[in-house]
Amino acid sequence: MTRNPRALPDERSVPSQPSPLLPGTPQRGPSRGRSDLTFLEMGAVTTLFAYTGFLLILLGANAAYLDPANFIEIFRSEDILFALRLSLTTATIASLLSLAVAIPVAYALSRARVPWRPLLDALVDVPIVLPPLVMGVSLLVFFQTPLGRAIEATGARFVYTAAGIVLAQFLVVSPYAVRTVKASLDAIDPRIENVARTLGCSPFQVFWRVTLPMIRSGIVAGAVITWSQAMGLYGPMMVFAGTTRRRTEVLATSVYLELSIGRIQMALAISLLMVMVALIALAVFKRWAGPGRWL
Amino acid sequence: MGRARKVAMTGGVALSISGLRVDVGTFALRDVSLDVPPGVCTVLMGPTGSGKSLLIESICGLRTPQAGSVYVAGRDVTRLDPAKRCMGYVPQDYALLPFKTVRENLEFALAARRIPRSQWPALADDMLSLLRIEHIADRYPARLSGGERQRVALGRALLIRPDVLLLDEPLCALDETTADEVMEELLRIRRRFDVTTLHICHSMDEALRMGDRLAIMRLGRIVQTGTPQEIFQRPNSLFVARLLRLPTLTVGQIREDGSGRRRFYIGATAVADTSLPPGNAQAVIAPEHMAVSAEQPLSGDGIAVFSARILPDPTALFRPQLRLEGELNLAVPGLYVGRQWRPGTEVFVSFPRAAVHVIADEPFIDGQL
Repeated sequence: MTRNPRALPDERSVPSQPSPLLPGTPQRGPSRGRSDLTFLEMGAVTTLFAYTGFLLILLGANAAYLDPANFIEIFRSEDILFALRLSLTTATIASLLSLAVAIPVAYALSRARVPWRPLLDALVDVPIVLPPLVMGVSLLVFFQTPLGRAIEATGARFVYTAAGIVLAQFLVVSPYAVRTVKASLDAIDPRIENVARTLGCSPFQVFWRVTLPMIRSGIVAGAVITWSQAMGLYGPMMVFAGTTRRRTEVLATSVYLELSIGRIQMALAISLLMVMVALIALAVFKRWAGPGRWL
Repeated sequence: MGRARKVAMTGGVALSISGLRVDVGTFALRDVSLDVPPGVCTVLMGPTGSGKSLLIESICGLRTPQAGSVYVAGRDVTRLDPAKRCMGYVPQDYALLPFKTVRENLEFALAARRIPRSQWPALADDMLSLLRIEHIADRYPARLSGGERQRVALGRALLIRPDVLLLDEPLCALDETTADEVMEELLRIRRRFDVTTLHICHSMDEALRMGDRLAIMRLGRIVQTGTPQEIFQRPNSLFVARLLRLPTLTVGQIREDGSGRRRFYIGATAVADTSLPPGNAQAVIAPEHMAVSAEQPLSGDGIAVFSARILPDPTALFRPQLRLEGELNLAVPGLYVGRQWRPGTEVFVSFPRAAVHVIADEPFIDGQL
């Protein structure tokens, strides 16, 4: 590159390494000292600590209220361990399924020429608006219709089965996946995809090599939110899949059942287990699928 | 690739557009015809929203025309898939893949062209060194300056050995010093590849340095084409004269005398014959034929003389011109204020009547000049 000698040095081309000319300079980078916090930042940081502090106090209170014996008991209980495994499996499958559907749905809403797009866009959000319990009732009703019965007659059983859990979770959480994926799709500069076309990529290659990598953060966010939602869901499952021990009982249902018979300590122990499992799973997932180096 | 490479080495191919119509919502390109001869750079100018980018997208095949045709090297590509054309498209914000490094961005073009992977390193290295960006090969676009991104986008477009290079305001996001460097770079690259180019720009400086020919667009149409000199001397409408910000544009009237002779008057002085209808009109005076003097010159038959006063003009520090007020209200380019001509000095301006080009008046529409 022909550098004009009078040209100002390009800030971004200067490597952000400590200057060898200034030994001992604190390597603070562009960030300011703590005393420079503005009122806005102070307000925001205060709110952050107050909020997370409240959550920690909440968890701490639960843990304090807990009888350690209960916590040990849940690890000895085959029923609870089964529910844990079922919760993890169904939530993971439901999350993957919802992403598999959300990506094409979001793509169609964001890119394709669809008639009645605003209407379809609103329809996608219906499960968010409805109470999850109602989704369970709707599913139960659906499988009483001729179409529903025909589906069950093929051998694909949903009512009162683990497959039903996945179906209910999928229906409730997929709008969240559509929203996060569509938000990242909408943020892509269409010129990037256009250039790839002119370079010689087919529409499918553009999707695979350009669009998909660029919505990665949206997909990751969608996976996190759908999985967490699916883990915590119990309303529609109780109606549609039942609460049979070692068959269709998931952890969230267990919490509800323990509460309903007054075993609050047991309910809290299971809740705490859910929190721990979720935190570990999300931390591992985010580390594995986190943003690329380019962000 | 073989064909494209051979062509690129033998002087580029021609781009020929005729009667193109592209509808996009309420806007449309209408009856656009444009020929770009092999190896020539045509600069496309026009106000924002005149359809320049849309025209380039249509040439790339990213928009489907409702009528008309696009020929590249004599081949009809009007209905051809963008991937099957060979267009070097550099869009306005460069559109680099943010998740790939500079080298990977270049290799992406090679992959898209199905060039064997074994050739990628050599081809990418060649392009990196040609554009003098070897030192940033492993950086991500977010870590590049505007000029560097511009070079990467240009390199990516050139790697496919394009039939036609389409540059959509390649310098608009750059500061002036960087823009100068990139302009030199573009000229060097164009000499090297001899590639037919369509180049959108807003700046006069850029248009004159880069363009062998100019095409002026307005509201989805091409309103004038020609060499820069032709268009600067004889803009075919007030719109073009205003777009090019011609300094010698001046207001006057066309009056008809008893014998039916129509002449263009500045104030009380008739300066040119015209066939345009009587009424308000404007004229452009060829600046190279204008003379400014302190003494009143002899007003011969073919010479018009006006008196005027020199106005202060801070921009004259880098763009020499005399801004005048009086019988003549315009700017004479190429003369330094202050050295000989101080603000407030009374001067005489003379020019041959043949240097006057009369243009019909038209209403000033905000946003469309």
